[in-house]
Amino acid sequence: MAGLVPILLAVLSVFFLADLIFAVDHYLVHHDRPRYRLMHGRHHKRYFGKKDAPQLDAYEVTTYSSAALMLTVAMSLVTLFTGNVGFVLGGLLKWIHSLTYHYYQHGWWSEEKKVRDLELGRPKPTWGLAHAKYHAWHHSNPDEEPFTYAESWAGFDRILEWIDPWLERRTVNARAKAAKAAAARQEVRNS
Amino acid sequence: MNWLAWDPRAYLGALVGAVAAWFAFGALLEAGHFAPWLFGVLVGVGAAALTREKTLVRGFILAALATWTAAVAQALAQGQGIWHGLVHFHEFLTPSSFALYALGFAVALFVGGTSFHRGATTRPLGA
Repeated sequence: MAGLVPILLAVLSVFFLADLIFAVDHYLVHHDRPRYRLMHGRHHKRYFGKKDAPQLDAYEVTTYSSAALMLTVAMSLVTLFTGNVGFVLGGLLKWIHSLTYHYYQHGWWSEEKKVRDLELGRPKPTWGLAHAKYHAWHHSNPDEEPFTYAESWAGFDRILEWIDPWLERRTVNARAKAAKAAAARQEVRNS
Repeated sequence: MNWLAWDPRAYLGALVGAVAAWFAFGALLEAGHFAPWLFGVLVGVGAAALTREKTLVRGFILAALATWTAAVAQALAQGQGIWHGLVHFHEFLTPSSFALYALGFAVALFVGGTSFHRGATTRPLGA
């Protein structure tokens, strides 16, 4: 069995690494129109309307939990192969964090007040911890800067903003746009 | 709502594969061959044979379950109980046994995430 320090280091590593993966995937789903329409768009559509369910609806519970369960299952294998229980505990901590973080934020809006009506304000693009109000900016203003995809360390968003010009060109939306432009150019040449 | 690309046929096939792997693993071990990769192969083949849907999410879940089942089988074979065997699993791991586990995981991931049926549909990530 690993000592307390390696266990704590494993817990924190998994917790922050998972948030990096979730933040990047969150960025990518916002740049993938078919995937956004199929799943994630439903999330923002709910935010733009009146509150129509308890703090987390069934879609949100399954989405957050599926991602966290995948992480926990992966980390259970790392624990099995290393003997450090911190890896699986980090996965479980991220699971609890994702659910309670959103549960807390969703407590702010109601049938009377839509998320935008809360006027939470544009957060500063910090390098500190991503508090609940910081991430809520993305819920109410998903297409506006600064990026607030991260749920734990806001620095992941600053790095995403920095690589955005490069990464954006490689997203599904950008590739679809380039293919459409190429097809249009070909059509002009053929006519 | 769909939890982890749930498809009863795929998981039924995986279960049949896991049971077959359990007996094959024991028989091979008695003959002196350590083959944890069998779980990944048979679980993956069982799922792909019955499902009509391709999804890497299911492949990942099956790969993890196959690896855990193989670890439990190894722990029981050591004769000191499941708990002791799993807690001390990493102490018995050698580069070659790790490679055999990794092989089983990789096969389950890719085969378990596909379908042997023509015209099988692909489920988008997260749907």
